[in-house]
Amino acid sequence: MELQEMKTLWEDMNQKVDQQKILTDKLIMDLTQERYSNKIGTILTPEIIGTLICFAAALYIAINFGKLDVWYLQLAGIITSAACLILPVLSLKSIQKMKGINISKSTYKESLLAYTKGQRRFLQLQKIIFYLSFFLLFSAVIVFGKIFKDVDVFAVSQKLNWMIPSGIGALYIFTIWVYKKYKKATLDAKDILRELEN
Amino acid sequence: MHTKKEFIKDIQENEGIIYKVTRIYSNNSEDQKDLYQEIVYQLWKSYNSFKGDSKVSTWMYRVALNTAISHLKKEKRKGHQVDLEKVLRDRIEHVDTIMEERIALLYAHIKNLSIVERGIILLYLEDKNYEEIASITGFSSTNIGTRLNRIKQKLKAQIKKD
Repeated sequence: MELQEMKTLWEDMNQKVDQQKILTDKLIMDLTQERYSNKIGTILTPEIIGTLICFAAALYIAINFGKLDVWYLQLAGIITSAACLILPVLSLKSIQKMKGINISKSTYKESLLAYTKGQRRFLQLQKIIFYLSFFLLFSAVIVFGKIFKDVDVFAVSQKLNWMIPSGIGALYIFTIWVYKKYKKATLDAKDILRELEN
Repeated sequence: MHTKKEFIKDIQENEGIIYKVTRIYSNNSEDQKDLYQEIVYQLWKSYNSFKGDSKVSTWMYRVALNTAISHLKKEKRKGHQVDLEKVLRDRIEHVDTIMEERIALLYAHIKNLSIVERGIILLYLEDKNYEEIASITGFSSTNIGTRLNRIKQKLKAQIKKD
């Protein structure tokens, strides 16, 4: 198929497609109904659920802070609560930014730039959050071990002997998978940005 | 303030635009239906802010292309769904089989282009001049010329390979 042939074929198709009036009045008005049952449901549901769980965890730690009787347990409690409060908010904010394209006013270039830059920021943040979650996991084990079972993880050396290496092993495998996934998506975004600049 | 009646009329007069954009930016019919519905919803949502300072078709291209971009990697979730099977199927049935095969090949070539290029080639094939393409896409007219030359080279190489 030659290029000129392509254009001619497109014109032929256009003549047929543009003449067709398939959409009925009812169908159009049906299509204008909000795609999702409510605004929260659009893309944020899992993120909002995650945020609520994190906030509940932070609140739970705050209520039971008195049970953390040693300085390093208190430090772990503060770190875990802070992470549970800050990280989900950052994540939600970056999703909101990515969604902030003015569909009717922005040009194609502006939308692509906004979307791709937002996606890159989101991916970078997700990567940071993922690595931080390593530390968060350990501090959460320490804090909740004490609050739930009154166990000071640092004092139970036998359990730590197998828990820490197996935990690190599992997280390492998961990290490799996440890294590959984000690397591909970040490279795609980078390609689009480079192409827009050319 | 625009009325429902005006909106329906504008959509019906330009429904081919939605079909073509959804076909270029989706990988399967489910995806296409989803995008189709999202585009009409976004058109309706922004209809009142459309002041008529450009042609209805120009505004529709802009909204449809922007929706397609923001729809690219969005996770699909079930919600209010309209049955669009007939709308998409009938368009295909109205053209003969040989032509549809050639059209499918044409779309396949376009889909091999990058996201940026797909929007530009669509507007070019729609017989828009450089100024119109520039106003919809936000690139300068000169840049559109350069990009179109590059796209043509790419397509030529693709077609030769087949």
